[in-house]
Amino acid sequence: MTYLEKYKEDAYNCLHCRLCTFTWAWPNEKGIWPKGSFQPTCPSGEKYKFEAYFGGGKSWLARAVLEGKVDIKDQAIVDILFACPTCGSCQQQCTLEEPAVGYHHRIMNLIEALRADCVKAGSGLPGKQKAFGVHIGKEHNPYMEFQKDRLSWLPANTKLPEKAENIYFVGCTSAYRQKELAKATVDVFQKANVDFTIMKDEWCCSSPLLRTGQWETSWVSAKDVAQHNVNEAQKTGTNTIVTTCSGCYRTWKKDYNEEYKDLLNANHSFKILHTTELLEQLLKKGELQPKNNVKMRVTYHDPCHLGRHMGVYDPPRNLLKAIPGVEFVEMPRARENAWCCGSGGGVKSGYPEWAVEISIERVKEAEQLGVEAIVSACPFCERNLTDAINKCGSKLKVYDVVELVNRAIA
Amino acid sequence: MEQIVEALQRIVGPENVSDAKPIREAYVTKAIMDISSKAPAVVVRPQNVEEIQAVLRLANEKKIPVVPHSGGLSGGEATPTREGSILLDLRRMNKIIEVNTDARYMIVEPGVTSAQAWKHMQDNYPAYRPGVPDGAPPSATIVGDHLDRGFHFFSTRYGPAADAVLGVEAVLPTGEVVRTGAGALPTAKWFYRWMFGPDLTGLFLGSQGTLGVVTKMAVKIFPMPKVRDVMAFGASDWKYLIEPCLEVLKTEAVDLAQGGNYHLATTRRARFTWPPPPKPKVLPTVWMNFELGAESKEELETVKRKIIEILKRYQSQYGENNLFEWKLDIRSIVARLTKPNRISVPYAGHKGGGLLFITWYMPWRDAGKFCEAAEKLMETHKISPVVWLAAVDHGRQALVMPIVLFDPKSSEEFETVETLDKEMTEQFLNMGGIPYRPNLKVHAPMVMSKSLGYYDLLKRIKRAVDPNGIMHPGRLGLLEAEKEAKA
Repeated sequence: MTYLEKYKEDAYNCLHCRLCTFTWAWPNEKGIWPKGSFQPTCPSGEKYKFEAYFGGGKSWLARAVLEGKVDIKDQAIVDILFACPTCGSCQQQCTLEEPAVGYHHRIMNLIEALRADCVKAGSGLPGKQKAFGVHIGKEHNPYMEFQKDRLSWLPANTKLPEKAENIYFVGCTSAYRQKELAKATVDVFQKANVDFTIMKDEWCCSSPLLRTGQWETSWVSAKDVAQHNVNEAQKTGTNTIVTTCSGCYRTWKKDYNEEYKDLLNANHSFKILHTTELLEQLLKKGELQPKNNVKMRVTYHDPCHLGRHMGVYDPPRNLLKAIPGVEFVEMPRARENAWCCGSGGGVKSGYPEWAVEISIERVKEAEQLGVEAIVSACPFCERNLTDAINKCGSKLKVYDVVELVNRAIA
Repeated sequence: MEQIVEALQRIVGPENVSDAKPIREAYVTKAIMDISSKAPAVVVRPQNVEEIQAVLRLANEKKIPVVPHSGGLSGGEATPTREGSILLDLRRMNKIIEVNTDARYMIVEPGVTSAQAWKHMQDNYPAYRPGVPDGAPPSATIVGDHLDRGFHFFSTRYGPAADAVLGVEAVLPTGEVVRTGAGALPTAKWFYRWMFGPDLTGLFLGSQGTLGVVTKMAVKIFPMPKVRDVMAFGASDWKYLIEPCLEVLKTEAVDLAQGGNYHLATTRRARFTWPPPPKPKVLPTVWMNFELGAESKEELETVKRKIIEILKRYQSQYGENNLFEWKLDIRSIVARLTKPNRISVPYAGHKGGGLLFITWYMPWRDAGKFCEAAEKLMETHKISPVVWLAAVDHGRQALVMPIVLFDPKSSEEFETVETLDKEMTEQFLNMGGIPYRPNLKVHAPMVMSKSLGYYDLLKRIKRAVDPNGIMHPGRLGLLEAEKEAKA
């Protein structure tokens, strides 16, 4: 049985109406559609243009695969499946879902299952995707770094308890690439008296493997990786896991316990929080008091893994609005309609130049608002937006919400 | 085919041609108009008229079928794709070329979507809108809807979308470019559908891509009413609904009138069962919405009063249980008045995505009988009897559309749907209806053979315009003409 079989109904449920190809932002009372409505929403479709690259086309392609009309080993299928940041906008826009009657159209699952079938058949994995999969198997991160260096960013004088109320799950991107964010997170936690520790042997959360179809391969097992993390976390006796990485957040909260629970067998009972959720809770309780003026006009970029995938839209915005001096403006494509930063779904490693191209579109959208900075809540977004700014010579700055909160608190 | 692909790549650039199977299969659809479509041989994405001319000249020389595809949409993907054909995906041609608010038209390329056109008008010419389809998603194109005589958001007032066409530019199968209507003269604007002689604009409307590729179209734009509202009649049976609605439609004050039976609403939220779920208390058995628009609140109130007077008159005859005003909640009213609307075809959950529209035109007064007949036939085959009804051109015509929902994973169900389609076609023909979009296997052979000289004339036109029969073979039952041409 193929992985795709599990989602057969979803493939056939698509009526191919192409609502998945553009944003939908409701008109105001006078029937005027806002600027963010009917805008391009699918990076893959907008780049490659043929129908197969859009969500609906992929669903009909899945049907063709299920009916044996298309061979999963056909080389032409590789770009269609893998040149997609799995941002989930197609699925978001396809709101014809009626879960109450069992009607789902989980385009994301179709794509990921097709990728896994492709990998299983010995195909797929463009660019460095297989290399990072192999490295996760060996050194437990996709960045070709050593596991022993995972916490090298942590100031030597930081004392972490064996057991604590919260685990700060750093994630590979913060640990190896966006180290300033990791430091800022620890800083904020310490200033806000958050009782936390960091797992001694934290591994990749497995998100890169799940997203690229490297589920059960000869070089790495997503299940082993996920189970290791759950076991390590259980050793600390904690109840809550907090992460700044939107990818890790989705994986811990949704993939381990729901989406891929059969594949991973890594169920857990931890409460999973994104840093912005924890900080927003502290803000509401008065335990976090941003007092320093951070004079800056900013906009917020919704990370796909935090927004569309998990429905977390307001905590980062509420934090920004609580910082003195911050002037917050929305981009036309915001929240459910946010344009992807381009780095997810394996695109950053599979199609690095295109990943930056996608992000440049987001930078241009932000520039039109006259802001000084794009703020996000994911190190992976931060990294790719930074690459885009460098590539296109923009004067914008990129920050994580946590970094601005850190500036604002004593 | 390899040489053809190379030749096509030279015309439009390699990045705009694909004969890869995964690419081709993504264009296939087995729904709405035809449930027997197959993947094209190659997909081509031209950007301008010259490229289309070159593609058609090549196809004509090599006698390769060509299927034009602007947005491809009705309630879902609807363009029947053809095995062995070149599929022309026209979405790169998406320019709004001109808007003229004095002569009240806009000229668009085939890839301009309803959403794009609506937004363009909203932002630049807020008093006017083109006829965007009602019931097709905003990704449907202006050209596709008008070319296929679609139902737009003012169709009850102004007629089917094709009535709003003021001229087209088309590339003929032999590669020549033609313009119809006033736009045929380079010195004239596209303000009038007619030139001297017969209506050559009409030749392309409803032709379903069998006579050429439309590359530009001038369509009327309509004034947006300043105030709008929706009223609805509910009835216990079709027989109580038709006559009073006709009286309302004869006032010629309704922008859009459409309705259906309660299955239209319940199938959306219920998985298939047989017999179908009973009628919920909150819904009438059958109903008709009237979307109304006016320049002022007073004017709107006058129209509404007139409609209520008609209602009361018929209530005294039928009884208030059989005919009544169905008070819509504010949410339903907003949903109806939001254009372009998001509703594509929200029925996939009922049986898993299989969908065929069997749409027929008839005089309004007969519409109830067609609806009843459709329900009975569908019930005979244990298919949920979903029927949609709409008024076109102030009720001079009615559109009855049985929405046949089936399981696309079951080959038996495909056969059942085909049998139902044949039975319904036979019955509806005898009742005096005409099919909206005849498909190759069922409607065309049954309908065309009975026409009084019409089919022969159509075949002669087809042979004259498309001597090698390359344009969308099979549509309109013109396969016979195409075979004769090839012989």
